[in-house]
Amino acid sequence: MSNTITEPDIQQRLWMLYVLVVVAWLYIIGLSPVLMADHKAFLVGLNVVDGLIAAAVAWRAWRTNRVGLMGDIACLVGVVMISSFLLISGIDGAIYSATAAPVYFYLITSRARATVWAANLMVVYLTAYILVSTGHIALPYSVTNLGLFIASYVVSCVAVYAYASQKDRMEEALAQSVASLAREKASVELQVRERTRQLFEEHAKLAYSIESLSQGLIVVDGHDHIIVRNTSAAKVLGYGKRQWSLDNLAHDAGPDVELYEVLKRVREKGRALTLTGVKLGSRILQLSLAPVLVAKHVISVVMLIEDTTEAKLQERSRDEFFSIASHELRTPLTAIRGNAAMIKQYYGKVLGKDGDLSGMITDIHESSVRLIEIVNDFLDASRLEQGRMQFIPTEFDIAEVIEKVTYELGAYSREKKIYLRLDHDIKSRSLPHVYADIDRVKQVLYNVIGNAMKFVDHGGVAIAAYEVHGRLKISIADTGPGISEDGQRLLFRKFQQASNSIMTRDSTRGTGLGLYISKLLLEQMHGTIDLEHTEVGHGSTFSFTLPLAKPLGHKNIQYKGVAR
Amino acid sequence: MTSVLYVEDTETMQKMYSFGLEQEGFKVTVAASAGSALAKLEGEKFDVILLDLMLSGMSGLDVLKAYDVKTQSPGTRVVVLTNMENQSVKERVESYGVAGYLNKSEYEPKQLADYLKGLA
Repeated sequence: MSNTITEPDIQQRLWMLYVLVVVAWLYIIGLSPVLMADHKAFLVGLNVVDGLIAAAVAWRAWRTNRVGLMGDIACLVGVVMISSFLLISGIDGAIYSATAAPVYFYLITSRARATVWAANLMVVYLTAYILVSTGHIALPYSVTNLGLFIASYVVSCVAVYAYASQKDRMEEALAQSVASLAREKASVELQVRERTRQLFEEHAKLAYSIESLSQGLIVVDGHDHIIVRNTSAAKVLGYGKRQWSLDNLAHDAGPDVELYEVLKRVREKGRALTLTGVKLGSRILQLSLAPVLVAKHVISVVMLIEDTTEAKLQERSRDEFFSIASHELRTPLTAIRGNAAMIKQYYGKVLGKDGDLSGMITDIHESSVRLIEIVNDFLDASRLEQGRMQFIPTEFDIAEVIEKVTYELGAYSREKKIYLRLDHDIKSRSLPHVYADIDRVKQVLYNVIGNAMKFVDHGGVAIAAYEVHGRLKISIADTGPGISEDGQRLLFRKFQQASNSIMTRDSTRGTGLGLYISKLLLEQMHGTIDLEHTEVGHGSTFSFTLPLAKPLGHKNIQYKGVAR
Repeated sequence: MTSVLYVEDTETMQKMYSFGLEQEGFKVTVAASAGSALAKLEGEKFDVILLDLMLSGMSGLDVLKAYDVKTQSPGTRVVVLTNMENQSVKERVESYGVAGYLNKSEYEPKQLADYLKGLA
């Protein structure tokens, strides 16, 4: 705790107190005509004590700290001088010194010392009072007057003491706030140290993460300089140390990419951007660029470089597998089917003479047609399972499509001598349009209607269509054998016919992929398929639904991006 | 008589479809490669070009690129006849304004003849 009293407010208070004491003294003078007896002595006393106080205040202001020994000497001088006034100069100087002394003591030294010296002076006063009142000595004033200045002295002591206490409290409060500031400073310093440590840790974590990425990572600043890059970047790009520059990368990526333009766009828009299929020599890369934003300003761009060569090759080989498999499997089958058909068509007369030969050719033809269907089913199922079938949704009239399909299946129904019936709404074309891929819907219709016809020997197949809950429902009811409970569980599953086991498969009735494929196709088109009703011995009703086309101005259902 | 240029490198297919189409009254010229097809197209105009896509050397697509039917022979209809199933190839072929894209395995010679008759 500092004892300084050089602060301007404290000095001001001291001077104010001094003025108050003088005013109080003048007030006492004014009250007592007796005290006015010796003006000369009063003026001498006033000037001397006044000068002492002024000197003391100046001295205290000049020195910053209270001085122990010097203070004591000054106080002793004060007591001696006041005692002299008491003895020689009469009532005026004594009264004045009585009121000014505590102030003087306090200004000269610390509160504790001032209290001691005030007590010393009190002893002098009381001794004088006792000696005067008992008549042992004769001073130039009466007992009453001596009592009066003792009283004024006590009042002055109390005032100075009260002031000193208040000043101490202020100083204590000041010291407390200084201490609290110091504590706060220490706490802030601790926080700064902790935060710095955390920053270092975070930086280390980030650096380690960047370095351990399998993808290449480059950070480009606002002036197109590479400021950060990891080891994988060199590996992915196949760059040595010398090749590192954005110019090289932009050059190697070629004019199709225009890397500087892309960077500019990312900075301007403040949005991430991904470039796929970027060719860099024999590599195929994917570049993902993202802006680093600080207070809405792009300070740099992070570029993640991924080598997608292998993935692209695999994707290509998967695509090629389907293309080549379909081509290679179907070509010989096409030759068998076409030639068998032509033998029947153009050499019927020759065959007519030999019933067995004609039957054999018919078997070859039918088998080749079936084998083509099987190949198509297998390829379709694989393609659907791998999500590699593309759907092109359009709005169309389902009634027209149903009529077309049933027209083409008409020959088969006539051959089997079963009916193929359409309900009134289909015939009158009064159905709302649907939103789906027309070719895939045809495929589903061929599958489901064809399937129903396969299992009907007597009766036939009836097709109805109607709107239900904002969707179009197409139901296909047959008079076939119906499906047992066990069979129902296997429906819509891969290679499952509604028959009992692998040993009892009826391979003349299909691969067991038809309903499975139909289900996958409908799912892709936001449709559903169900077995609506079945009764063993009496037939089954299958139904499927498709989303309706939305009215003009409304968006149709979005299809998932299906890889080609 | 409708003239057909059949571009096909597989011999069994050449024989089968030529025979079938001829039986149905078409005049068929076979080109076993894209190069041969382009050479034939230089000297002669056909009513129909029947085009297989998977050919040795240049593909059927290359024929479409090299021979612009719309400007060089506006009356000629191009029908793609292939067993290859590839959506992106199909889209590219269709962008050349072909009259049809047929799956070979679905078209017996007689059915193809009926289809071509329907085109005219």
